[in-house]
Amino acid sequence: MASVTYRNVYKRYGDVTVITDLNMEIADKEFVVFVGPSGCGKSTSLRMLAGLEDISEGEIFIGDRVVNDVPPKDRDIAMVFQSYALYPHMSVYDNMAFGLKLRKTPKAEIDRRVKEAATILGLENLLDRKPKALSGGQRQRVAVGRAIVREPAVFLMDEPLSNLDAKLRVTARAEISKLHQRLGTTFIYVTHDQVEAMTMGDRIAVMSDGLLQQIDSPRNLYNAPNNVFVAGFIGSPSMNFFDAILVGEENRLFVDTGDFRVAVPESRKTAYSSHVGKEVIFGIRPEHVHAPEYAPPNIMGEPLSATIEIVELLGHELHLFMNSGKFSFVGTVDTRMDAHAGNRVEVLFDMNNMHLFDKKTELAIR
Amino acid sequence: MSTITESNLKHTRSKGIARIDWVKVGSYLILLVFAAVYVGPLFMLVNTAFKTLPEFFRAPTALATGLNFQNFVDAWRLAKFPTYLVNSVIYTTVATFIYVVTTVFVAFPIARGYYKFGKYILLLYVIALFLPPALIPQFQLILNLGLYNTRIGYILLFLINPIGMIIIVNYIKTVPRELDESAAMDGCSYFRFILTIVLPLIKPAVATVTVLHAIGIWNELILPTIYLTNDALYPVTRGLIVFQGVYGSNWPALAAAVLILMIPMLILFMFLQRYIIAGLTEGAVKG
Ligand SMILES: Nc1ncnc2c1ncn2[C@@H]1O[C@H](COP(=O)(O)OP(=O)(O)O)[C@@H](O)[C@H]1O
Ligand SMILES: [Mg+2]
Repeated sequence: MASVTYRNVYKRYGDVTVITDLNMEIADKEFVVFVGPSGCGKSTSLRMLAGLEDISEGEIFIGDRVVNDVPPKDRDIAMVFQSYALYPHMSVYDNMAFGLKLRKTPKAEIDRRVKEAATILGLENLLDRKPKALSGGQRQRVAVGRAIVREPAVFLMDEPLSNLDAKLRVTARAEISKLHQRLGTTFIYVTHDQVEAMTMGDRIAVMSDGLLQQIDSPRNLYNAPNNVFVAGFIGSPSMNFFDAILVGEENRLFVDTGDFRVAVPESRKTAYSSHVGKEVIFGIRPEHVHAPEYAPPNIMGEPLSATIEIVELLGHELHLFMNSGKFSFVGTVDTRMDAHAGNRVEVLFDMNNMHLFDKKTELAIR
Repeated sequence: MSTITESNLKHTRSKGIARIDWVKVGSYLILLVFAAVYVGPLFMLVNTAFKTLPEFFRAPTALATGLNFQNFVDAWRLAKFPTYLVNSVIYTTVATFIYVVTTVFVAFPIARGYYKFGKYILLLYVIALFLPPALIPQFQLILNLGLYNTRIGYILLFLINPIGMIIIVNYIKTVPRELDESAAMDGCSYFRFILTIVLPLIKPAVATVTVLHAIGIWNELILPTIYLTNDALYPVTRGLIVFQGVYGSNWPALAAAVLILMIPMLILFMFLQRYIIAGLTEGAVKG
């Protein structure tokens, strides 16, 4: 069991810097997810921690120990690879036992740990099989089992579910969360899927272009994204953004997009006062767009009119792709709304859930 | 019901008689010709081995009249098989073993790009493939090393072979790199990794290279003639020269000797062929 710390970590390949000044403190027993679009440096960050990539600059700690020059096997970590990396010529049992054998663990102890991991993962009947004779989901569990038996201080997983089909992914997700609770070990999990990140992580580190954008609990990331990137990345469908001007009039603040003008809640006035008269980016999540007749009672609903372009009924949700003139946006409205493409309708923005960002820095204004 | 079946039957029967698949006939004829080209000499060899010398001189191509095993006995004795066989076995096994093991250990970092100049090293091997054998400098080298006419010197000649390196480098590329990383995290040393993970996974390539290389050494005739003058160090192939007489050669005994010579490599091949074939088919399915 151990904490993990990244301190001013850089990774360069030749002249290209792929990780820039990464700083992060991961507490013991925490489940942290690295999330971000493909190529943003999640795997590289994880692999530096694992010792599979050199650290160009900075320090990585596992517990109180700087591990920059510690070989992977001595870092007290185990990793589950995206491709599972099972040894094809070894049985499930031998795959799980291999690392322990190399560490000269007594045979009886190896047997106990492998059997126990197999029970946890439901692999008892597959121990004699070769990986080739397993389904994707079973292989994934063997890969996890191989990490469990090592009883590492930190578990690393690099997109372990991305080779599974959607349905299996949902169950496997829950299994990994359960495993974390059961083992009480630090987990670091890499994914490009924000739903996976939101459902699994105690905290989520959102990355983009080799930069850590924000690390926070799922709730805080959703409610208070630090910048436009995080706001747009977390949540599905993505947050709607409008280029606007913050206008102060008669002791009140308004967001003026040119297409429409909506009032800012009183409570935000002091926070936003510095940006009055300036260019801002106004953000509102689709779920905070409502049909007037079905809007929840105590929201601060600011009306505007827009034309419906596309209607998508998902059963439990109704997605409306709308256009207010210059801007297109999405609303997830009550399914009872009688919406048809081409209609001009009035919708409400729940301004208590609005977001405002500086136009230049793209940072949240708070 | 029955009438339908009957008419069907008639129909197929008439079709079967009427149609001859000329493409099939043609391809079988071609195959037959090829088979004759390949099997013919082999048949002549076996046929000759069972003839007596007078019988052979009377009609070299005629069929043997009986199974005359005397040639094998003579060949065994005249070509000094008992001594030379031991030499051949030593040269072949030692050189092949060292060659294959060193090749795998060198090939792995080249295949992975873990050597900075691995690509260029491999290129040198490829170039070497197209160069003519460097007989004279090689001879000078062995001579100056004081290894002329020694077992070590002779074995040294067979420790490099570019084609095997190229085959193994390319096969190692099919072994996923994550396995290296996974093993590194498991705490596997390089030697252990090569021996317990890489070797079993590249068995088909190793089997192929082993067979090719061993056969090459086993059947080598020129090099022992050049590098070995001591009768006690000769491999079997060198022994066969005794059948080459000034006044005519003992062809039946030579044929018998060649057949004996073939057997060990035949066994080796049969032993390893399941890996070779497994490798060929595996590659096709893996995709
Ligand atoms: N060996 C390498 N040489 C050069 N660039 C690399 C290498 N490995 C990764 N990169 C680059 O580093 C960036 C981050 O890669 P990676 O960490 O794998 O992204 P992610 O896992 O977030 O998709 C990418 O732009 C990738 O092209
Ligand atoms: Mg990745």
